[in-house]
Amino acid sequence: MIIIKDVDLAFGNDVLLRSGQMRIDQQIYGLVATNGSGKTTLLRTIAGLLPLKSGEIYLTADQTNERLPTLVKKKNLFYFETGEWFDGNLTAADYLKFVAKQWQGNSQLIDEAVDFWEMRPFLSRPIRKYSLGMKQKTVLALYYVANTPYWLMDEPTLGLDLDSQARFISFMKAAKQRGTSILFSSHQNDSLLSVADTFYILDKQQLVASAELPREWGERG
Amino acid sequence: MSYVKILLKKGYRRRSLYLVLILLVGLITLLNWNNERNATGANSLLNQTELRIKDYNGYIKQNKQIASADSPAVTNLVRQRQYLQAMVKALKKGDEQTYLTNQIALLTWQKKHTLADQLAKIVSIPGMTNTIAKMLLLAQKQAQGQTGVELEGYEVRGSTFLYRTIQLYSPVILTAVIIFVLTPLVISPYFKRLDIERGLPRPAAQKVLLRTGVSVIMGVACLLIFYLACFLVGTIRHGAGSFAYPIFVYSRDRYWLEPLWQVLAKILVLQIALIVAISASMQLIAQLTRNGFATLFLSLILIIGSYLLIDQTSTSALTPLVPTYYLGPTGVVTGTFRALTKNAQISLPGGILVNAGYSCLVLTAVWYGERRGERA
Repeated sequence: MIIIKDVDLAFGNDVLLRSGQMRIDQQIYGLVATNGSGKTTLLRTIAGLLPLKSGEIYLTADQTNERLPTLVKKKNLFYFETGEWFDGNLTAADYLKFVAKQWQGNSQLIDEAVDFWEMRPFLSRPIRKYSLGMKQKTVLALYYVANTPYWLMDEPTLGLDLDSQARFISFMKAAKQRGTSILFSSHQNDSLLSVADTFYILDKQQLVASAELPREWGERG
Repeated sequence: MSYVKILLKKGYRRRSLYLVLILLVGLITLLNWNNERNATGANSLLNQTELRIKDYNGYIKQNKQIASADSPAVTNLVRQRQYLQAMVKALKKGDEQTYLTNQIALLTWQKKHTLADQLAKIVSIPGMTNTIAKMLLLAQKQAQGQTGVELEGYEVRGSTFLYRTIQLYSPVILTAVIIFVLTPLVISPYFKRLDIERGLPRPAAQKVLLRTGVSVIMGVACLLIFYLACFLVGTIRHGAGSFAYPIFVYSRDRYWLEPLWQVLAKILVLQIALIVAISASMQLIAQLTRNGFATLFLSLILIIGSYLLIDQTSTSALTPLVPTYYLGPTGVVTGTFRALTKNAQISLPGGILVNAGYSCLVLTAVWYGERRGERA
């Protein structure tokens, strides 16, 4: 389980979150917030990409609840924010092999991900030649080949066409069946939020958990 | 795929890298052409020797006015002119071995008579005897090793052109190319101002060391491409030359000759130590700026700028403690700077020690900066 305890977040002088609490454990969690309220900053902080100023974020062992070392947390958690992170001179194949090796994947998972996201035609092409949708499919394939028990995803359907969005829902459901815990952010009125079991709403510097997406959030945007 | 492989791919898959390498080869070709122009033009050995003959003609004429034609002074000058004429003849035929044989005969004769001959004593300048002895030693080695002879400073053959290009141009040109090649590697952990490699499940120390290792591989590849390009450009246009070509090496108060390959091997070792230091500096700059262009620009300014600002003949004991002092590797490994400054610390081991110590310090700072992320 990933525990987020008493976390304060700020972006420059703007306070984004005060004393945030969160637990991520074998469910799909939808993170909902207005633009600029700190969703990405929160995801980056949980992933360890931004230094934590106050509070605690840690991973506990399933059975004993013992706090695990940071490196173990990193090995069990995968976060690839956006297709912008890619080096345009490398290929999807390069990144899939790299992520599989560095996290917990293998070559069989690479083949499965490539087939699932229909990536064969562009697999060995430099990423600078990809469309936004191709990049996003590659990002999602990376999650699959990382094979970690925890996924953090920021706007994972960005740039996907309708077919791929439908495929994404089955992708998420299959991941949940395998026991993967997922925290993903999406637009407030996004139908994709239907795959979430629990919602975390980041509003007015507070993080609130809810079993259902409150109506006013569903209607906004 | 390992972290090392992906870093290497980020380095060599860049299209602009190949453009820079093509420009480098073009520049090297131009330098070789420039040397050739000098070696065959007014400064050429042939031209210089012919001018010396003209000088001797003048001396002989003057001496004949004040002494008889068979006086020792006139006989000496005529004898020297004969050697010079034989040298010109050999050069015109392209027979360098005969040129050297006559040069050795001339220098041996001059060395013997410089001290004995009263006239030579009067006209001699301080160090003249030493200069003749040095030239003789060089000519003897050149003849003995059949290395051929070239105009000093404007060598054109593969091996010797390589050495001279390293001496004159590697500190700025090669360093700039290495900085350009290493930039994508050292900036790789950062996207805009975000440290994206903090998520990679590896300890910070390991990431820093692997990145440094890959930088060294890429940097050495640049070095070898530079060496190879110089050698091939020279070889294609003027022949390979000889790696046994004698190079003067100095200690504080004496000198000797070492074969070119031995000097080049020492230069390579020093340049590898320098690449580690350059990589360490660039990683620190990348960590502070988190921007590719800023890293490239600042690295060029700080590394090459500090080299250009350093007076390598300064007698200050602190100057050789600056790592970029050693960017001019030939002056260090041949002991030229050591002899000029009378500073025994300026040496290959000294250069390695300074750069290794500096690299350790800077890499520790880089590691400390990255380690902060591990706590999150």
